[in-house]
Amino acid sequence: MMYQYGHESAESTLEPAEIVKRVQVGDTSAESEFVKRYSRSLLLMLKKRTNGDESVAEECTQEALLITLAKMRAGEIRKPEHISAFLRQTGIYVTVNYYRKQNRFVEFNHDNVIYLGAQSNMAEVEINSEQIRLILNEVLSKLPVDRDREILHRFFLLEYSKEKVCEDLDLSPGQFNRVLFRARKRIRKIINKNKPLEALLLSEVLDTIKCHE
Amino acid sequence: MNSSLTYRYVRNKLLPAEVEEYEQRMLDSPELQDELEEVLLLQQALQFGKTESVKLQDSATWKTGGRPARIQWALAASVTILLASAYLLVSSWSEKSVLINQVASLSKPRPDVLVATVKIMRTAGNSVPDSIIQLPDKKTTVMLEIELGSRSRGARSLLFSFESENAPGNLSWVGSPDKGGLTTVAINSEQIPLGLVWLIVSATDGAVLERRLLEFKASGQD
Repeated sequence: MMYQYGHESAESTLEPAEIVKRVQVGDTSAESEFVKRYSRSLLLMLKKRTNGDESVAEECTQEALLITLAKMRAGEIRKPEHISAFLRQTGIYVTVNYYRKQNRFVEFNHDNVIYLGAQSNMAEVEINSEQIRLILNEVLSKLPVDRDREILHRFFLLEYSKEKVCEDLDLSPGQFNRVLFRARKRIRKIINKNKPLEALLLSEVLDTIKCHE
Repeated sequence: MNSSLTYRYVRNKLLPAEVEEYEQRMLDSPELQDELEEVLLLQQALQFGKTESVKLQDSATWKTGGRPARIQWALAASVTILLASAYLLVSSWSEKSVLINQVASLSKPRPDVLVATVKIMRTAGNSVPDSIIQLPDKKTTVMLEIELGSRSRGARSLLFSFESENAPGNLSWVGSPDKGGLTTVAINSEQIPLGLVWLIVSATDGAVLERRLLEFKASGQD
């Protein structure tokens, strides 16, 4: 069974509950649809929750997708219309378990999971492949220099508030928003130009799911 | 949903209920996925750029042959700055250990040692100082006992630095959390900038783990 990845396509009009129902009766195209619809978003969510640890996020994404598929096949999803909520929760539990197995400290704060050990690995933010490294380099080279870069640095890395950045650098909120918007637009261009990037980021997840079939 | 929510999500500024709501909506929204992808990539690139620039500084010392003179001068200047920074770090280290030894060897309280505890900030926002420390008018050894946040406690080694508008090119040191999540440093009061000062706690790779706002006041200041 081979799954496609990527954005939800225009023609995918199946309601979540319908997908669950079809998977339960053995419709493999519905399984494909499910993975296609949620693999990217779950991976993004787990990348965020693992502080950018690509390999852990990928591993946990594929495990969460597999668990959810298994539950769907077994008819164990009680609220099919809320399948994305089930998947989200599964993704979180799988990630927590991953860190538990690694003997890393995990702290629960309601629904927020903070991985204490993960941040210290930031330096090793695994640029797993040469392609990703090159793409990040390209993103960097396209980023504006000096003041704009300083704004982004303060906001995203030093985590200063927008108000403080504006005050410190004598910016209006409008100027600040424009800098962020421009930076995101540049990145979108790079992503669109590098379609293989998405494939690269998701290939491992999908390959593993394929292997389990 | 406007993009500021994505920025707040990426910067861990959402409340738990908001995180849940955001993630739930993002799972079903290709537009939000695009937005999150862009912001995560931007953040990763900025982080990557920081690491890369450090690597470049390191390797620059070995790659001077055949470059134009101006670049060689720039490299030489960088090396000098690096050496000077290393010297300052080492000297601040040895100074610190001398101070700590001096303080530890005291058998009775001395008036020229000020001990201040910097607790984890319980108040929200960036304008309320974590601790306000009034410095005496004469030269004093200030012992800062810093309670570390959860993100820093797991690290074996941490980089600390003061960041202040009043004193660019500030003090920095290396420290480790003890079992209780505290770290202590002794600083000569003359080295401490007055006013609002950010204490930046970073991992050894430079990733910022936490920022604490302190305020140092001179004697007689309200």
